[in-house]
Amino acid sequence: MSARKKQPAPEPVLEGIDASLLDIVDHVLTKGVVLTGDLVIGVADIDLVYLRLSAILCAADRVLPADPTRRKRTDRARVRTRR
Amino acid sequence: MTLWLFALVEDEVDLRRGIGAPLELVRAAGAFVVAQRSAPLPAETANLVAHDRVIGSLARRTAVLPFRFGTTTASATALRSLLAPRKEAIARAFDRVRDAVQLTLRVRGEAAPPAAPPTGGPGTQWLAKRLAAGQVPEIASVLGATKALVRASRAERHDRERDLATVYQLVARSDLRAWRAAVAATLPSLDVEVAVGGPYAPYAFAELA
Repeated sequence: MSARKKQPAPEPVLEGIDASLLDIVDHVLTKGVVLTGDLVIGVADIDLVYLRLSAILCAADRVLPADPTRRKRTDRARVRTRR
Repeated sequence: MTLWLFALVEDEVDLRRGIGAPLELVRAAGAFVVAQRSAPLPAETANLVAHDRVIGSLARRTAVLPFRFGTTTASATALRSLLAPRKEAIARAFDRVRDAVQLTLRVRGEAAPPAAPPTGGPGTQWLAKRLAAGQVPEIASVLGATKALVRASRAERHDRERDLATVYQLVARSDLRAWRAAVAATLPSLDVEVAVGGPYAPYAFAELA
């Protein structure tokens, strides 16, 4: 009976990872693709981060379109003041 | 029900095989997104481990760009419209991580004595401080020995008591054995403890820049 030459075990690449919980928490919670846009990053039913496409670095009334209902309310308030 | 996102994958993988979760593939921006119709999950150990297992299973089959845990979109249509403008960035990220794995070095011990304080104005000092934040001189010999084998590297200094820094290295699968040998040869000469983790999916190199 001929002795069969023992083959070396293949180097594990991703199989059998014994990742510590620290590594998992670090990778899963703090790394990875983050998309900016209408995405909500949250856990359970609590939205932790709400990301919009643009960061607004000036007063909202400078970049948002005028709110017609707000204008009407303001006009009404002016009318009341005149009375 | 929202779409819970696991990862961008380069190839159309068979999700019925070896994952054990009811996942779906969404074609978007020249790639595929592995997702699950699910209400948001709490960040509990079991969910984090399960999430990581799905990513690991995908990484064995194709290039992956993991999403951060907890990322959801309202629908597949919303996901496509979000990813469409990022098609080129996604292709670049796949080029970076293809056939590579992440190794993580956690450095503990006494910090190296600080270098001489930078001279110059506040801008120069700020830049010098930022540069120092990405350097880990305590393991310079390891970083030097692995430099030729590392496709990309990222270091984060913590300097919390003995928890000094974490270094993430992206290494081609074919260089993994040589990387391990280089690290094993240089570790004994260090004055700090280094915990080597991995190989992992390339979590730290998944940014869409």
